[in-house]
Amino acid sequence: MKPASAGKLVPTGGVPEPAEGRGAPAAKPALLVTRGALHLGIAGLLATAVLLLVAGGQRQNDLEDLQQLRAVRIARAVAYEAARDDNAATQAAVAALPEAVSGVQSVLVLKGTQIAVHSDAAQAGRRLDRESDADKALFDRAARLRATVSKNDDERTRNPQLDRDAYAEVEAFWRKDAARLVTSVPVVRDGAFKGMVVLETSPVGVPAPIPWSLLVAFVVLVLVGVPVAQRLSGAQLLGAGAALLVVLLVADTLLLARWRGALRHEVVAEQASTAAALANAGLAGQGAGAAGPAGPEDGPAGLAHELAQDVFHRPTNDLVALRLASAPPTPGTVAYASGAWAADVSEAFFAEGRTADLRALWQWALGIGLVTLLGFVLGALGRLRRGFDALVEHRWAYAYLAPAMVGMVVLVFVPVAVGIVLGFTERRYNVFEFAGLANYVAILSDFDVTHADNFYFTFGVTVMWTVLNVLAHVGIGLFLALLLNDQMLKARGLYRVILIIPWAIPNYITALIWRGLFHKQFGAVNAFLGLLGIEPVSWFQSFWPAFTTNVVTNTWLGFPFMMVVSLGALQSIPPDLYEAAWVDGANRWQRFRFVTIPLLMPALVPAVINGVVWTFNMFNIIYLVSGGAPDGKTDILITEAFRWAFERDKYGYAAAYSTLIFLILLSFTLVTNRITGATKGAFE
Amino acid sequence: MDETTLSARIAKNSFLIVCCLFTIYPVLWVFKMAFSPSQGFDISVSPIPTALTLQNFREVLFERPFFYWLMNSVIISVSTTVIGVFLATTSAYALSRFRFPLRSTSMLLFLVTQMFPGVLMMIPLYLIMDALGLLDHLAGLILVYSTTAIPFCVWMLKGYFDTIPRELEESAYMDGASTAVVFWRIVLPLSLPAVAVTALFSFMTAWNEFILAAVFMNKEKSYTLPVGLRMMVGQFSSDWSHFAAGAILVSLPVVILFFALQKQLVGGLTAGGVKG
Repeated sequence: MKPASAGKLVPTGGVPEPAEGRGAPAAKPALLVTRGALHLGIAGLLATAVLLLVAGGQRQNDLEDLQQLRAVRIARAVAYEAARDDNAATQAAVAALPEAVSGVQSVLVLKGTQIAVHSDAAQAGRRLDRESDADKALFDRAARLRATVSKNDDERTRNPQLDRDAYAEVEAFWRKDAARLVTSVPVVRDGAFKGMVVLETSPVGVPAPIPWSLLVAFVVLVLVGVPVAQRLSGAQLLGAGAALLVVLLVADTLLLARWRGALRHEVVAEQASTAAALANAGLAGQGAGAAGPAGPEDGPAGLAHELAQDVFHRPTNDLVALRLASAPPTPGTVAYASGAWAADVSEAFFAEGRTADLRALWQWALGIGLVTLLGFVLGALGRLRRGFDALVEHRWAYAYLAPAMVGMVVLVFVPVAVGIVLGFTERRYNVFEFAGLANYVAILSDFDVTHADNFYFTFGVTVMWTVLNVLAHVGIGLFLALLLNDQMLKARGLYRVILIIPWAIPNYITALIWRGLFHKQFGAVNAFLGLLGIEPVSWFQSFWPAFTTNVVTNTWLGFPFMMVVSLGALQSIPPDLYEAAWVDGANRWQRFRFVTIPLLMPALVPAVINGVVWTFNMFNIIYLVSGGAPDGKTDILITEAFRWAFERDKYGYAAAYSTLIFLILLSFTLVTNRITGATKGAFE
Repeated sequence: MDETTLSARIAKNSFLIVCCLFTIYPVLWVFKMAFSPSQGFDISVSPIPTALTLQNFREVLFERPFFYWLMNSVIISVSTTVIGVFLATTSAYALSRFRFPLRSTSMLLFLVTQMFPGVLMMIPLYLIMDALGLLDHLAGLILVYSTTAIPFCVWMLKGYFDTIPRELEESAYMDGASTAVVFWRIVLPLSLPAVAVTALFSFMTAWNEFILAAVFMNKEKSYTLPVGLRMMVGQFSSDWSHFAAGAILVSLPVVILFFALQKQLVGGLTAGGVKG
């Protein structure tokens, strides 16, 4: 990881080195791009490569999931039909299935050890052969499904909120040689296991080859990524990794959303046609109307029952199912149900897909993170030896520093790190479960700004709150300081003492006092308004009055700080400068503009930056004065985050929320520091 | 360059007086509330009470667990001060006097902590405290407050140590003194004013902190003063007279301390540019 030796590490067959690395002065003019642009370009290539890899993989997963879901639907429609125990009717429907529904290769219904129904009529009625491995596998699968069904029955009565994946009554696997998906579902009647449907399908609809771009991307990744990673120092690598990660997460989400949008239409269309095909094959609505309002057991109408429950036996679109079950199926109801079914299926699919994506994304993120970490560790290893020597040499310094550092690490940095990690989790039943970016997506993708707990609404309120307050603080503070900075003023000492009283009083007490002053019945503010003939105002009933109470309180609280800062800076301006300006003919305004203002800035700018950060995070005032009233509308980000955590018990969400606040403040500080150099020199 | 006329001066003074009235009015209002009988509180705008009584103070002190709260607050604040100042002086000394690898990183770390939103730490801290069984215990708050106060104290003290001439220490080293002796016998006594200010700052941090205490302390007897005061005018009761009396009792010590040490404190808070 040492830059000096990096040249040797580049594989000979790899990408040519950037020209300036070789140090031949003659080569320099030939270089058209700057180093920064080069790095940026490489980073961009890398990001694209990884993105295509990740998103491509996710798309592949999507498509496979889709095939699976479709197969399960078809198989279950057959299973409901088979539950009627009318083998002849089922055989008729099943035999038509490969013709009617695209992609269906074969269907069989296994009852006991007999293949009761088979799409290939020749095989129907055959007993299983003990000697055949394939038949034995079939039998074993049926036994497993039987066990699952009875276990689920028990579990379901005990715990209605089952982990659906762990208890799915479906077995599905890809027979890779023939590119066939084999799906097995149980046939259940009166809660008892009667048999098993085995469906073999080939992929239909959207073809899913790996795009050739992915291959190119992978080659680029290896060729460019490895040498670049070797050139970077550990810290650079860490930074680059982090930046890459953020870009990837955003881009991946966008790209997938696009793909999904396109895929969604195909899915809906495909599912609708499948449903219609099933109906045509006689698996939907058969005989349901004749039996009147039918229970699932005695009037099996495949499609209707399929609609009533999802793959995991949970009720779904029951309105449609009821309608189908209670009325004679007409082409209209079937079409309607098919459409509803398709929509339902795709909804379920996309809901599932999102969590799966996040999980996959997290794995990738983890991978990238680990690689970055590895680079960092390798880099650090080289310094370890030197570090140890330094530790021995400066042991006194470290000994003096250690206690406070340990305290900071344990009680500040660890909690912050834990907080950031919690942002990727969700708490269910006292257990933090990994939830990927779900919290961030939930916070940031809600654009309905009419709600008080919408992030953007609260952010807007926070920005308005911060800007108004800081303007008021600086304006009032500076103005008072200019008035007080006058040697002729007799009582300036007294004024100053009175004017900084608000600073001396604990701010939670200030907040509560002002809450009292704004009290509707006995508050002094309404009493003053009464003197002016104005009706008492209910300060906390609507947004603007409540917001005003907060701003007034915080203005009262905050102007003394700015006043004192300005006063200190004003007093340190040498009077000679004013005299010189006066001699040069500068008028009062010019003296203020060209002497006072420039000399105030070095003191005022850091104070304003800090003021912005404090106001942005001014929890006590909001929480204690308006308390977010009405309905959380006057909450700022920090109080909103608190509410998510401690009033709504959504710790993961709140942690993600706080992390966002931190990121906002961090970028603000970094940008202002870059512009003003405010912390420059503070390190010496 | 004196352009002030009499009328300008009158205008200036009257404006300042108005500002002062605006500043002082809420304080006077609290005094009026605290000293008026709670039954016959008069809701006029005049800040002068029409009748005087100490009944509110008596009730706050003796009919509520005020002394528990006071004791909690005193224990927490004093411990925070001792721990915070001790840790901050040693660190600040190391940062001021020694040049060692990771020095500027350490200083940056102290600075960065000021940026973390309290709520982000509050959730994990709550879970950690819960796991350690430190909820409703004074020790939990002491630990948290100490670390909250340390960064400011470190920066403030480091600035002060930088101004102490090194020659003093160098001559002590010549005489064979160890680092520890130099620190305890020479540097620390010279820095007492700055140490006093950081001590006041740590004390005020702990004494005035509200939200962590409100989250961590759930039993009425383990409340600190801020939480107790808040409960008087919280969701379920609004006893403004008691609150006013309590607010005076609680604020008075810190306000007096603030004004006693304001020159140094204000200097530190404004010059250091660190969070206060």
